[in-house]
Amino acid sequence: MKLFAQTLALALVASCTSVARITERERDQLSRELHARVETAAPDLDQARSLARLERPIGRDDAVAIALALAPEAREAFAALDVASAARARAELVRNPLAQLEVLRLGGDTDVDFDLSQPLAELLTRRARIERADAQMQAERQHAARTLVRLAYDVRRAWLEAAAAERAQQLAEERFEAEAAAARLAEELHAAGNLVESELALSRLALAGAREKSTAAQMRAELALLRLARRLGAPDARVELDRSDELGAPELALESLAESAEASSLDLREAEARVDAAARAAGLAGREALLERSSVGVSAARDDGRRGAGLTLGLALPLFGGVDVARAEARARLELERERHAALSLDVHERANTLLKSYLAAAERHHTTAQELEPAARRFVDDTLRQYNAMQIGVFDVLEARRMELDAQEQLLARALELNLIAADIEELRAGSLPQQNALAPELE
Amino acid sequence: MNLSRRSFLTRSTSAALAGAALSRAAAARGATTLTAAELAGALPPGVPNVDYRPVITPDGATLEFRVVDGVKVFHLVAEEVEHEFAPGMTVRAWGYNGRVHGPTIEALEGDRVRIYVTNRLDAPTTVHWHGLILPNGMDGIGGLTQRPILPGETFRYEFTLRQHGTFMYHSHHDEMTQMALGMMGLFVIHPRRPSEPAPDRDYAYLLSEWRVEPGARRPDPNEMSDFNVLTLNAKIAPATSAMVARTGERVRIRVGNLSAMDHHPIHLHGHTFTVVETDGGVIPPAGRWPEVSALVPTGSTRTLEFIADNPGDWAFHCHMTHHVMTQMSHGIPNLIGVDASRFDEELERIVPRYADMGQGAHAHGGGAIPPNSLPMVGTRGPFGYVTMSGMFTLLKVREELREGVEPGWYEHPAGTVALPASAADLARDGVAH
Ligand SMILES: [Cu+2]
Repeated sequence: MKLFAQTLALALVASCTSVARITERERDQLSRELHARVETAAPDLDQARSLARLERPIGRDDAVAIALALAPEAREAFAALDVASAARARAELVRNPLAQLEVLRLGGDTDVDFDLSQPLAELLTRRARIERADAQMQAERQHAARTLVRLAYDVRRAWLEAAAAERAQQLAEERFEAEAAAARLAEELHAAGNLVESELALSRLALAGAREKSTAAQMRAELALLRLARRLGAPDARVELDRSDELGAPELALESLAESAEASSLDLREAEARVDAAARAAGLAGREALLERSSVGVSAARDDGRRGAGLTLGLALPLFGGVDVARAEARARLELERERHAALSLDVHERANTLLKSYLAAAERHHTTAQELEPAARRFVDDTLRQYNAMQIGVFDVLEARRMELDAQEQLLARALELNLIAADIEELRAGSLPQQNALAPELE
Repeated sequence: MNLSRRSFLTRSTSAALAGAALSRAAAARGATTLTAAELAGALPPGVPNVDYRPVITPDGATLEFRVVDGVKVFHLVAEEVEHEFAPGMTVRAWGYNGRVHGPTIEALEGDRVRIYVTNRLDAPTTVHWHGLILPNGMDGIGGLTQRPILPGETFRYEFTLRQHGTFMYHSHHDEMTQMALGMMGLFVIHPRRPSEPAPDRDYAYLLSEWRVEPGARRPDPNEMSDFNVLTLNAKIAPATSAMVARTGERVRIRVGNLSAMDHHPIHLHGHTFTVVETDGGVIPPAGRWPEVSALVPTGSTRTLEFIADNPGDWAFHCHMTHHVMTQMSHGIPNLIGVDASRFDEELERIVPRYADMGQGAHAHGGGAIPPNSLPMVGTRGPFGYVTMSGMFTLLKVREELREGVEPGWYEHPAGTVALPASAADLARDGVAH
C-alpha cells in the first residue's frame, strides 16, 4: 500500500510540468540565439510594424528583419519548436493510473471488484526518458535555429539578386537610350543623303537588339522582386529596394573558415543531439520493452458479502524476445545518426573549403574587373569623347566605345553579384547553416 | 675678302657674262659657274654677306661653320629633339643640332666643305647630300656607299661644292622611319658668279609631312597615306612666321619637298612668279613661264622669284586643301545637310557624362580634346577665323618696312575690302538678293 502511495505521489509531482512555461522559454532562447548568429537582424517580430516597413525602400538588412517577422518559414520554425517543447513536457509526465471497476450480478448477489493500478514503465525510467527528451529538444532547438539562419540568408541572397537585376535593368535601359540616340542620328543622316541604307539598317538592328535586351532585363528584375517578396512572406507587396548599399566588395573574415564553420554549425549540433538522443534511446530500449505493460496497484473486492483488499503487480514476461528486437533497433538508429553526423561533418568541411576557394577566385576577378577592366573601359570612352571633340572620330565610334563600357559595367555587376552571393554563403556557414550547393551566381546576360 | 656690298653687286654683274658662256658646259655637270681649272684647284671659302646674301629659313636656323686650312668645317649632330609644331603640340622627333628640321647648311659654290656627323640616336644613320654632285663614297647611302654611322660614332664627309642652287640633306638609312621623324634639312649653295641680279629677300622652306595621333607625342613613321601634320620648315600655321617684303623688291622663295608620300602645289596669292631654278640647275630664262602655283614633287626643290609689287597680306600655302588642315580625320560621318548641334545633343544620351565635358567640336564650341593635339586648328586673322592651318603662311608686302619688326595686319585703303552689298548697290545693278 505504501509503495503504491509513493508511486502515485511521484506521478502527481511530475504532472505539474507546464507546457506553456517550456514553450515560452524555448522561443525566447531561439530569438536570442538568432540575434547572436545573424548579426544584422534585431528581430522585431511584430507583423504590423514589419508590413509598415515595406512601405519604404528596403536595404538588405531590413529585408532580413522583415522576413523573420512575416515569412511563414519563420513562424513554422517557432511552431516546430513549440511541438518539440510539448514533446519535452510530455517526457516528464507519468501515465495516469488505471481504475477498473467490475460489478457482476451472480444470481441475487452483486459482486464488486475495484482495481487501481499505476503503469510502471514511465515511473521507473523517468530520469532516462527526460534525458532522452532533452537531447531531442536540443536537436529541435538547433534545427529551428538553422531554419531561421537559412531563411535570413535566403532573404539576403534574394535581395542581392533583386538588386543586381535592377542594376542590370538600369544598364540595359542606358544601352537602349544610347542605341536609340544613335539610331535617330542615323535616320537624320540617311534622310540628308549622307548615310547608305545598309548602315541605317545596322543601326536599326542594334536598336532592336537593345530594346529586346531591355525588355528581358525589366522582366528579370520584376521576377526577382516577386521572389524576394515571397521570401519576405509578403508575396503581394510592391517591394522597393534601397540600393544605397551598392554591390561592392564585402568585408569578410576568412581565417580558419572550416574550423569556425564546424564550431558554429547548427546542423552538426543537431546531428550530435540526435546521436545523443539515439544513444539514450538505445540505453532505454531494453527497460522500456520490459516494463511496457508492467504496473503496480491496489485491488478491492466484495464477493458473497465478503470484502477484501490487496496489491496487484503486473509484469510482461520476456518470453518471445521482444526486448532484444527493441534494443537492436535502437542501436541501429544510433549507428544511423552517428553516420549522418560524420557525413555532415565532411559536408561542412568541404563547403567551407569550396566557398573559401570560390570566394578568393571571385574576389580576384571582381577586383580585376572593378579596378582595371571597368576603369579602362571608362577611360577609353573619355578619350573617345575627346577624340570626338577633336573631330577624329564620329558619333558611331563613340557608341562603339560606349557599348564596350556597358559590357564592362555588366561584367562588373555579374562579378559583384557572384562575390556577394558567395560572401552570403560564407556568412551563412559561419552563422551555423550549411548553404545549399547551388548558390553560386549564374552569369548575368 | 673684304668686299663692300656695292663691289659685291658689281662683281656679280660682271660675272654674269662669264656665267652665260659657261652655261652649256655647266648643264652637263650640274649647275656651276666655275671653270674646269677652278673646279680642279682650291677656291677661297665664301664669306656670308660678302660673297652672298644669306638665305632666311623662316622658323629655322643656319648651321655655323669654321674655316680650317681653307676648308669650311660643319658639324651635324643627329639626335632626338622635343619639337613644337605650334603652341599646344610638341612631339619627340629626330633632328640635328637640337632642331627639327636640321639647320640650313649654306655655302658658296666652289667651297670645300668638311661635314662631321655625330650620331647621338639609338639607331644607325647616315646623311645623304640630296642633289649634290660629289664622289660616290660621300653620297651617304647606308650599306651602298658607306657603312651606317653607329650610335656614338662621328663620321666625316668632305667634298667640294661644284654647283649652286637649292639642295637638301636627309638620313638615307632606314629612310622611312628617320625621315618621317624629321631627319632632314636644306643645303643652299650660292653661285660664285651670279648670272642674275641677287634677290633682295631670299627665303627657304622645306616641306614635310607627319602622322601624329591626337594625344600622342611621337610621329608615327608607319603611316603611308593619311598624314595629318603638314609643315613648312617643321611648323604649322599659326606658328609659321610670315615672310615680308617691301614693294619693288625681288623676292626669292626656295621650296624643297621631302614629304614621304606627297607632292605639294605651292600657291602664292596676289603675284605671279616664275620658277627660276630646280635642284638640277638654273632654268634658262627662255624656258620659264609665269604662274601662281608650282608643284614641288617630293625629292625636289623649286626656286620661285617675283617682284613684290602688290601690298597686302598674301597667303602662301599648299593648294591641296587637306594639307592646310591639321590632325583632320577622314573617318567621320558626313554632316553636311544635318544640324551638327543635334549630334552633341544625342551624344549626351549615348554617354550621359558627355554633358559634363562641354560642348563638342561639331558646333565649334571647343570642349575637351586630347592633350597635346591641335585638331583642325586655324589661324586668327584681322577679320576673324582663318580656316587654314598646316602648310600655310603669309607674305606681307608693304610700302614701308622696319627691318626686324613684324608689320602687323595690312591696313587696307578705304574702299578696297569686300563688304556686304548695300540695298542701293543691288537695286542699281539689278541683282536679286
Ligand atoms: Cu600639299
